[in-house]
Amino acid sequence: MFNKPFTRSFLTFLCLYFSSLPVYAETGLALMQQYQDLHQVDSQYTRSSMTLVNNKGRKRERLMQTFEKKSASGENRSLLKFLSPKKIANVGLLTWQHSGDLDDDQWLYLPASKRVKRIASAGKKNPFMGSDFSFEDMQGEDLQAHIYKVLGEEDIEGQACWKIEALPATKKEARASAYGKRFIWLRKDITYPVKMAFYNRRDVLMKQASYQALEQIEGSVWRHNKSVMSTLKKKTSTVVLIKERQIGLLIDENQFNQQALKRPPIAIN
Amino acid sequence: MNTIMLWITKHPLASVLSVLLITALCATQLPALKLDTSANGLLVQGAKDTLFYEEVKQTFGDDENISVIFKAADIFQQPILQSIEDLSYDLQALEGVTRIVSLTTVNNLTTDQAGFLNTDTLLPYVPETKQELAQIRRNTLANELIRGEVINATGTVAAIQLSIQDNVEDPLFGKKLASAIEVLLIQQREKLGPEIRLYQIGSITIGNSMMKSIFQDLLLITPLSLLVILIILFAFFRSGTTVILPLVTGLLSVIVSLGIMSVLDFAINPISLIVPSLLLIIGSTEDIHILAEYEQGIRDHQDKVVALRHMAIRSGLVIFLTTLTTFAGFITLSSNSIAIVSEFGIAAGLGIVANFVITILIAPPLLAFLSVPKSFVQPDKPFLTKLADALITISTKHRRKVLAVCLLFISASGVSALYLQIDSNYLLFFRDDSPVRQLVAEANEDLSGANAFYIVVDTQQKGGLQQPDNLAAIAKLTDFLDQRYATVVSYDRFIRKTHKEMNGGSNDYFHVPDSADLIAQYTLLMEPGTLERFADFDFQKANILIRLNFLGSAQLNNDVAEIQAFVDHELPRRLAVTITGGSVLIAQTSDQISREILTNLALMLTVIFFVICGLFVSVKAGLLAMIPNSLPLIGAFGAMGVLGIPLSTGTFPVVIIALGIAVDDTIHFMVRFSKEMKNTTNNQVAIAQTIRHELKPVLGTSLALILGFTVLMFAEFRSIAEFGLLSAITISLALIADLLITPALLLSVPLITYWDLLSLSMSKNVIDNSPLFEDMTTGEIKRFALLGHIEDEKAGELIIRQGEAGDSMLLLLKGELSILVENDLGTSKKIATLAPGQIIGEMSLLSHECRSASVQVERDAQLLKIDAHVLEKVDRSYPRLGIKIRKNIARILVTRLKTANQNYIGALK
Repeated sequence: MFNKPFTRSFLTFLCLYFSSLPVYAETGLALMQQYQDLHQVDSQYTRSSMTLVNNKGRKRERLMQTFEKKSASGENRSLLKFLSPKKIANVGLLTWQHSGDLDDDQWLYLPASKRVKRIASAGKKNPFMGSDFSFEDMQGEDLQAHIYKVLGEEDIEGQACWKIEALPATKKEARASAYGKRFIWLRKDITYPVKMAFYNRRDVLMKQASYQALEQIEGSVWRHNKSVMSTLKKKTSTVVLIKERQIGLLIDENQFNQQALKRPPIAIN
Repeated sequence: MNTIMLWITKHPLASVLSVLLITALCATQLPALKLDTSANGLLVQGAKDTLFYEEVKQTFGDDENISVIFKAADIFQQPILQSIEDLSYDLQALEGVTRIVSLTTVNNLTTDQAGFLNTDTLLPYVPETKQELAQIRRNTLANELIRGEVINATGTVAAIQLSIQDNVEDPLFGKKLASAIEVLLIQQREKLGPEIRLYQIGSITIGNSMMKSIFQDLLLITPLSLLVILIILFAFFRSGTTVILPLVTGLLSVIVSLGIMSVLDFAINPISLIVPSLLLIIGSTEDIHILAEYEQGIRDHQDKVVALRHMAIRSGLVIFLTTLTTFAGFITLSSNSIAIVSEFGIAAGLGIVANFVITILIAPPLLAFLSVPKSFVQPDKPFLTKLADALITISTKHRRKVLAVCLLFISASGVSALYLQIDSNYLLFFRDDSPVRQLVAEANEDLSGANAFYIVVDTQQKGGLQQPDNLAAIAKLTDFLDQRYATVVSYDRFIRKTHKEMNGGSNDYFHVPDSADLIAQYTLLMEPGTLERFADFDFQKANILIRLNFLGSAQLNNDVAEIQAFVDHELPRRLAVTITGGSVLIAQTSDQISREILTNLALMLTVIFFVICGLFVSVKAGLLAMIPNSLPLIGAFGAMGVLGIPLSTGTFPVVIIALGIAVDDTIHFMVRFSKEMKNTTNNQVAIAQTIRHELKPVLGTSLALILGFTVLMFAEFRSIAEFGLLSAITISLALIADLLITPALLLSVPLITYWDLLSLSMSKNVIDNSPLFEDMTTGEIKRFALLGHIEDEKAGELIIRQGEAGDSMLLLLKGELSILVENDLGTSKKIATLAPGQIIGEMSLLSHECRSASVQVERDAQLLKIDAHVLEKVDRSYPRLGIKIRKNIARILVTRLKTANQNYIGALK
């Protein structure tokens, strides 16, 4: 539906029109910008469990660690490694995120093949390692690629939230993303998301995420220690629990290259 | 039985009221009667295979499938791809659709020119430029995992595959879903224009059309066929009564039977659907036989009340016998392991009993109420008399020829029956030119895969699927399958494909890697929705999906057997392989039904054999009845062999109906014959009488049924048309068997019914004390006694005159006789009185001498008259008995001679 220039510009017009109305003091984009600014860190390390729950409630647990760092050019780089189960231990994914119209660079390392494979395009909408999260769910918000609009205020678990609608703003985003629309509930007090709803390109609700066990890391920086993503029709869900987190770690840029991808997981502390 | 029948004629109101009460009671149960039009009735509920299938569906998703097919000169055009994307979204949202596989949902794992791995979906967006479209086209056709399932090799046909979860609660589910899909297709067709063909096909769609055709035929053709039957009956008997009676008893029986089915929780399904027609057919045959007795009564007595009594007495017993035999036959079907067949057997058996009860309760009052048909008092049409005479001539004069032709026919049918195939191909149930057949033919040509089944491989250990040796064995199986079927989707193929792409896309790497860890790591790249269809959560079981064209049960079962053989030979024992799926199970059940029907028929014939043996206390009678009973069956199988009509779930009821009708006609014939035999010692006379009596009802009903079934040949649905044709053939054969072969056979075997034995009141005193019966068993005594004629004489009657010629002997059963000797002056002197058990006239019997004394009845007497014919018959049929009888007569003569000697000596002294 975003293929037609007219529709797109019409939508943009609508968004601009409504966001200019003095119903809410804040615009969607401003809130999202505020969210990014408040909670941004230079580097981060986490060790977490990812539990896949199938439609019969059976669970499969994996442990993984991630390193993230803002590069000199200000772009996000991340390295993810599975720690367990044994069969997939040290499977790694290296991502160099690029802003703007450039595709992200990604490398996959499968230890059993002892090979690093460059991935041309993982496909944002592809599920991440068999979970309910897709690659695009794992990445941070790309504010340039979306149009945000405040729809109203709602209470989520007793906390006052902004309900923000996010629509793809560019043709590229509309084509790459599985979502035609998202709703984001940002807690008003700390400007941190606690819930998201994902609609497909035909406006059907597909997935829902909730971000729980919020923790103030330092200053204005908050993080969630638990996230649950549910796929509604399939009745499956994925739970990510943060077991350990470190922020502001000094990580060498060399940690984010192909050699590092092949190395065994680094033990922190 | 006679007592009951007479009671009914005397209490018409009570009888009618009780029938109406029963019917009303059963009618209240009708709303609860369930309708099961799905082929799922062919899944044996609770059976191991069915439970396994249900479990497999739970684990791996549904195998029920609908394909939406696009056909164009080139699929890779923006409007078509856009349409595929739109439909993929819209179809996914429909109730009952659990999964969608299409060009816009499949992943395209490839290595691009730069050697980069591409894990994205094939169509992340609908391309617009020519270059993009050409690129997508190349990617698509190069991917062995995509080709076949959602696109053909030349890129001219694309499919959206829908997995369907059938809603068994809703009988209209399939219909609703198909029309919901059609609505979406109509919208897309408008957008795409006439150049592009877009249609849906699937087992549900076909099942839907099948049920629609069946019910349409049943609603249109069955009443038409019933109408034809009634018209023929009316034309043949020229009386409204012959139409009203079968109609009333038939309809009441149908209501009662359906009520009983409802109480027993039996659903109306494609097999039990024929119970009503069965009851109408067999019921009307019975009614016509009853009417024939009524007609006979009217002719003999010219009085309605007497005629009704005559009818009650004459027909009560015989229809009880036919009911018993038919019931016994149907109830043997309850041993069938397929629930719907055993339910059919029980429903039909109970229906026959209900029809019997209703008929005997309602026929006498109804006939009493209706005026006597005019045709009953008019002489029979001359052609009937002529036909009867011709038949009599043939069966008496050309007995051997008839039997020889019969034997020849049975042998010929037997040989062609060897060509009989067991095959239920639900597609062949439709006519060649039906829209469904054309659609399937088109779909088969376009892209096979509207039908599907599963092969589940259980490695019997958690994680076993990721063991390289296990997965390599599965790969061997999928390669074998890949050569035979258009589409084979399985876990090993995803792993092999990933291995290939991880190694630069070289076909040399399209194999299972030899590291369990690598298999597990490759698995991470699989889309989870796809993974769960082909591997279970524990990686213990793999599921192989096979998409194929629609096959008949015979071919599908054959395929399954070949796959099983491959598995047995080529795969390690530790892998438990099960071939399952709705189509596979239904094919198995269909052929199992057909095969079991053959054993059931043998069992039915055996039961009928024993029942008839028991009824006529004669193994010969049982064997004799087998020939006219099995002739239509063998003939039906022969016709199916010659015409190439397979034995299927659609055609097997024919043989059962044929047997039901043949049994009825044979029993009517045999009972009538044995009755006639009591009035004459001459077989030929008895046969002639039997043919004269039975011709009209047998010919009338048979003609009506033959024409009624012929009407079915115009049915839209091929299997119903074949059913009609075969039924018409078998009923014709049953008619010929009964009018020609039964008489010819009966001429060779004298029949005595068990009922005659019971009704014969021979006191124990007579049996024990009569010198005539010395050294004879009770059975022998009865058999002998039944060949004679029982005569009742009043006191004072002179039954033998001295000096008259005679050739018969009398056994006093009841009463008292006195022996009188006349002197030359004409005065008679009583010389002895005889008590029951004693015989007189034995000398005349043996030597045709004149009577040496007169015999007068002292007290009302019952006598058994045995003449030379009887002795001849005994000698012919039971030679050992003949010797015993002669020995006893000789003994009596010796005793008499001794007494005479003593008297003579006494007189001399």
